[in-house]
Amino acid sequence: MKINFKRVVISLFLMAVLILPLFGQESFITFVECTEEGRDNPLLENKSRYDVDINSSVEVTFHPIALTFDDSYFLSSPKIKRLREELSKLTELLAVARSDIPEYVRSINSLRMQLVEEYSFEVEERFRTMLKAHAFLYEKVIDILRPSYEERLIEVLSTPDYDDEFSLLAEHINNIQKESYVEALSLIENNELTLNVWCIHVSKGKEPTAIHLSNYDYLEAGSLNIMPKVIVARTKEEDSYLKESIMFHEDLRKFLKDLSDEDSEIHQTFRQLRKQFFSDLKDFEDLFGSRDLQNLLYEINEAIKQLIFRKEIGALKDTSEELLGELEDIFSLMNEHSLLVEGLFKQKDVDPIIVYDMLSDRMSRFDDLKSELSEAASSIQIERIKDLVVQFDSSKEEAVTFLPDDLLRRIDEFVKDKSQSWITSFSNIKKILDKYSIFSFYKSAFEGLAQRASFVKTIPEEVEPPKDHKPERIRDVALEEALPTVIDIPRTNRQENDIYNLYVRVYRKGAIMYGNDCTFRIKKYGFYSKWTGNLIFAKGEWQNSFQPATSVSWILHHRSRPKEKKGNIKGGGGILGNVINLGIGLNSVVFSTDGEIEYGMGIAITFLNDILQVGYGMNFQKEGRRGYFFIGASLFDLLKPTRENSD
Amino acid sequence: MLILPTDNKEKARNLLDLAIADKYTITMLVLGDGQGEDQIASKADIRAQALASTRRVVWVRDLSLLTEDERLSYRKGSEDVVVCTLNLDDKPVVHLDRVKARNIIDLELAFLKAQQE
Repeated sequence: MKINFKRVVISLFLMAVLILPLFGQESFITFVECTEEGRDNPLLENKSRYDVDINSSVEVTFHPIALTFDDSYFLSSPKIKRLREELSKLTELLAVARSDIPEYVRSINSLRMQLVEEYSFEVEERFRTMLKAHAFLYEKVIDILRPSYEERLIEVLSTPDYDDEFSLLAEHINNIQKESYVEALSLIENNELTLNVWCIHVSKGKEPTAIHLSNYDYLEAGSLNIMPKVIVARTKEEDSYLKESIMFHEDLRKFLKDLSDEDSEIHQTFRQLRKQFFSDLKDFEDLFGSRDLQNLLYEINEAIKQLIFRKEIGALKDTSEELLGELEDIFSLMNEHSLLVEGLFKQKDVDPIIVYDMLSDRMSRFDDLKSELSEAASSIQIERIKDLVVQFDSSKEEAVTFLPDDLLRRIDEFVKDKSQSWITSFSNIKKILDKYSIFSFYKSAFEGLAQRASFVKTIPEEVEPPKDHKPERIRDVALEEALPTVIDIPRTNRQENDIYNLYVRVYRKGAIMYGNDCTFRIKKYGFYSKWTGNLIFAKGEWQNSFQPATSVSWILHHRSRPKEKKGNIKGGGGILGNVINLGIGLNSVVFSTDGEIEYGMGIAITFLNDILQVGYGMNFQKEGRRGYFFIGASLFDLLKPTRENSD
Repeated sequence: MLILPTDNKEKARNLLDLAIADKYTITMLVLGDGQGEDQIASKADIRAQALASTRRVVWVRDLSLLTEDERLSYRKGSEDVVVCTLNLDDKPVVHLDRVKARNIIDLELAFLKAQQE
């Protein structure tokens, strides 16, 4: 005979557990806080929120088998889930019924006999009361049992074993519980349950981020700004999709953040480019705005109007008008660019997609114009102009017959004196146009940014978990193989009072069978110090009234670590440590009197997380009476809520 | 269980009156014969034995024993009602139709209800 050792082990385990039900009271998840001193603090209290040390890590361990006992109703049928609470009440009720009902029956029988033998009003009252008590208790048992255990109830009621019918009912209930354990165990054994675990770090004023959990990377991950809802990624494809989207998103945010950070490399690069841009723009503006070029072109136009009969000169006129119009277009385009570039540095949250679209559009127009202008400028080559001058000279004799003398003189002067400056101006235009190839850099810089932004924006706000109709996509993380993991707090960018939300879900065919959300709040324990900047009112011994001043304080605090004593958690600060939060430290004050700056140092005592401070110190720049008393408030701590709200 | 005879109406009527008049007994009347009332009476009797001194089942096989008022009172004017429970004051408290009366839980509840009223 082939022995299935796994089944044997589970059966033995089940038997042992059923004999010792207390063993089954272990939670599905247990947490151990590992501190930097190497101490392990099991977080024993069964609650959903724990305070943990800022330098600790939390080990998370799963006990799948516990689900079959502590939470068996999650893994059993909905019917059993609904009745699970009633079972415990029923067990108590049956215990009462087992002792009380037979007693009632005996009393009723006895009272009945008394009534038959000799009527008494009191006996009848007691008889009726007993009947009602018996009926009330019996009816309650039936009401609770009937919705789910009707068949067994009928079985018991049909058995003429009236003394033991409540024992039979209790036995049935016990069997039902055993069946639910077996059912739950078989779910685990057959790998029908999968586990998802993810953790979100919430820090005030920042975007929530999904943090790394060993063995459970991104099975599910949390919300970010562009993805406001929780993303549930359960397939390998969705895992990588999610991971990429978060990385791109973070990268994008970093880019924009760096762009506004004056010390960052990218900001410096863009600043340099911007400087160059405006310098070039000024050159262009000087050239264009000096009107030399426009005057020149105007003069050419005016002069050659008189020579319109010459085809070459006519072509030159058209070209010069065209050039003038195009130069105006370029000038206005560059002004738009200057506004755009300037805007980028003023507005951090500028949407890179919009920036890129604008740049692309304008670059496209700019490129077209530049190309046309270059073509036009090239077509008016120096040699060509010289030819025109020669032609002009040759035709001048024809023209002289009907052109006024002064115009002929001006044309002559123009040809001789201005032609060179005309050629030079066009050369300058070409050089400046070449300079503006720098726009290509802007364009390519924003192109990458815009691509990332576009990618992130195409990510749906919520990726639905796989439904029943596509179970093959469910990532196979069997509950039986649930591995422990760690919330490694020191590896995250954490601050006091940050929150780590740990989400645990057990799925069966895509549906959540069990859910547990736990929160870990970061606290500083032991001695810790803080710097605060304060606005204070100080009164020196040499002064008659309080005067405003600024000060800086170094404050030492202490918060005791929570400890378990006789089942109760003690310590952790309480109101004294968390609200009043007394601190003591050194304070340095800057006095400003009669236009002079003076310094003082003293001792400060703080309350309410350093918001309120009082202290006494000495102004070392005074002679004689140099003591001062002060009272004040921490500027930063007061402004923090306002800043957070505005964020 | 008291099964009233069908061949002697007078005797049957007397027995019924005596059963109803017992002021310290919860009486469950099973009314009619021929469509499973025997099984209903049998089940009811099992539950009556759970409190034998105070519960009693009376099977009225011949409904012609009942007066018109009793029929209205015990059957609520419906031929579908086959069980009627009387409290200690002989007032009809629970009426069960044929379907419900087949369920031993409802029979027990009918006794319990009568105990409380």
